[in-house]
Amino acid sequence: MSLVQKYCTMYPQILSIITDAITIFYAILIEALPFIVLGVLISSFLSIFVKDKTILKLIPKNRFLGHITIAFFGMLFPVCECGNLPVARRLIAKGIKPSQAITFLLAAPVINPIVIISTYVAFSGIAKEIVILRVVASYLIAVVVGLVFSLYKNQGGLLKDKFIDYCSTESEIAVVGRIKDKVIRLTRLITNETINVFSALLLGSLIAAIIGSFSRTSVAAFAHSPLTAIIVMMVLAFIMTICSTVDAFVALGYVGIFPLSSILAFLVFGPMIDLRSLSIMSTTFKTKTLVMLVAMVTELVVIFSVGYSLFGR
Amino acid sequence: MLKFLNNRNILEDLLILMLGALLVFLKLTNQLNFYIRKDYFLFTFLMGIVLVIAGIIRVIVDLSSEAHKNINHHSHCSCHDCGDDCHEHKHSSSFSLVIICLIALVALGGFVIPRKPLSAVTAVRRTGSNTFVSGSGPRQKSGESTLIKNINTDKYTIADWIRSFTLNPEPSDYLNKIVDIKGFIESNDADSFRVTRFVITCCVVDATPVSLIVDEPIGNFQVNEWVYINGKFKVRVKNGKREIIINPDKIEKINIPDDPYL
Repeated sequence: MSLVQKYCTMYPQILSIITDAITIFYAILIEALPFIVLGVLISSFLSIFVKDKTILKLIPKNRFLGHITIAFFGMLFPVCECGNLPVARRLIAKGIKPSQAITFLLAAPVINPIVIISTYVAFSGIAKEIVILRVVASYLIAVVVGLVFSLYKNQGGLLKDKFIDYCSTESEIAVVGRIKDKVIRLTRLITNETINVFSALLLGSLIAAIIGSFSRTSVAAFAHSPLTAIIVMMVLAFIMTICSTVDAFVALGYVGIFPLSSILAFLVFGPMIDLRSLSIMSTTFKTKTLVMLVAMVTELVVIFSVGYSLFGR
Repeated sequence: MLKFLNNRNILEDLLILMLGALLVFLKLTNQLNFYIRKDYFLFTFLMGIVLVIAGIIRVIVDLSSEAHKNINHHSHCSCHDCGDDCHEHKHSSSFSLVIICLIALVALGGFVIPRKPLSAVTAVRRTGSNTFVSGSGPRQKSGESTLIKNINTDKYTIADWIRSFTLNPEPSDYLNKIVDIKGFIESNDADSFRVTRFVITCCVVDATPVSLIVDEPIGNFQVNEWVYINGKFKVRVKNGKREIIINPDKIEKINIPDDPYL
């Protein structure tokens, strides 16, 4: 077959791959944007209508207690991964430590009522322990990683300089003034934060869309040992960038192909680290911080999942 | 002319307006169907409205603030005179023109790029254990079989049939059941083809294909074409396995439905 003939045969397929990648790209953006806006709305209300002291009062001053408390904040702001980042940015601007914000960011996508219920609905008939283990593992990993970062004395060093400047200009404006002024300020925060997070989302969505058009089932060939299956499912979770509110149903499709320990890894790792959340987090944290974050979360998820495969299923 | 384009804040405001308008436009033109699950439509629409309102308020504030700045061009601005608007003067955009243009381009693309559901190529790539094309396995208890036989399956979609096969994989229980489905042609071999729909849980990122086999050569139809199929189930034995396949009475080419995903 000549090159030209080969090209002509391949052309419709290539075109389909491109149009599908475009569809997936827009689907990620259109699905994420409303959640970003919701997160931005909550964070903007926090900024304008809630005093810094009120937020800080909720968090114990003790390092350990502070982290174990903030890991439950997802129950207060059940806004999905995309919406959590604007809330975390606002919490940092209000005075919480960046390490505590990391704990919040890692825990909130799972430690929230919607995700717990959806995981229960998906897995209660197959393996109830997955529901409990997902919640426990996510909580523990979030707290441990946050505590490790809290040992870092220069907490500001975890953040991007641009974000530190942003926080300092934001804190200049007190939570006072007429309602009209508050509304105007609210709209400015919505505009600014939405564009900030959305622009970071573009690259992550593009990569996820390109990788998303590749075959998923072919990875099943790597599921010959629990460890490789765990790693493969974590890689899948990273590139698939599925919202934590529904990922349990997607994971169901892999039950039977992959061991349950790797399904657990998928359900714990994905909401914490994926292409989308990482690109959004890059608006706030330094690359060095994110590299350490990914390394720690990966290690802990592998340890937890291998433990489950040894002592559980 | 178009002096305001030099004002980065106003460009940002227009961008937010555009993103909000895109969400509202997709909802009002029923095109969200191509991206996300129905349950999210209202939420997406409401958040679109929020962006539109925020964008309009910002445009008004920034335009009036721009006019105010021009009036006081040669005089000092006093906070006593303009109150909180001074905060608006202080605020300057932190986004580069490149980022603003990039987002504008993506938003514009959202309006104009023709919408298409995921194709057969992705269906083939995503076909896994949760795609059932046949039913085989142990016969269920007689009670369950009777239940399947007595259920009204007139409005069953491909996904409904697949769920039913999962509950009761005994092929003979489906013999002569009427099938009335829509889907796209995913692939074909010499004497049959697969008709497929994607099922989505959240958005097309998690779309999973479900398929049924039609016992008919593909003929003049082509892969990726949407078809309406009416017929009855029959059982065939292939490679030593009994399979449930459709014996078609009618196959018609149709347009892509408004709701391509199940």
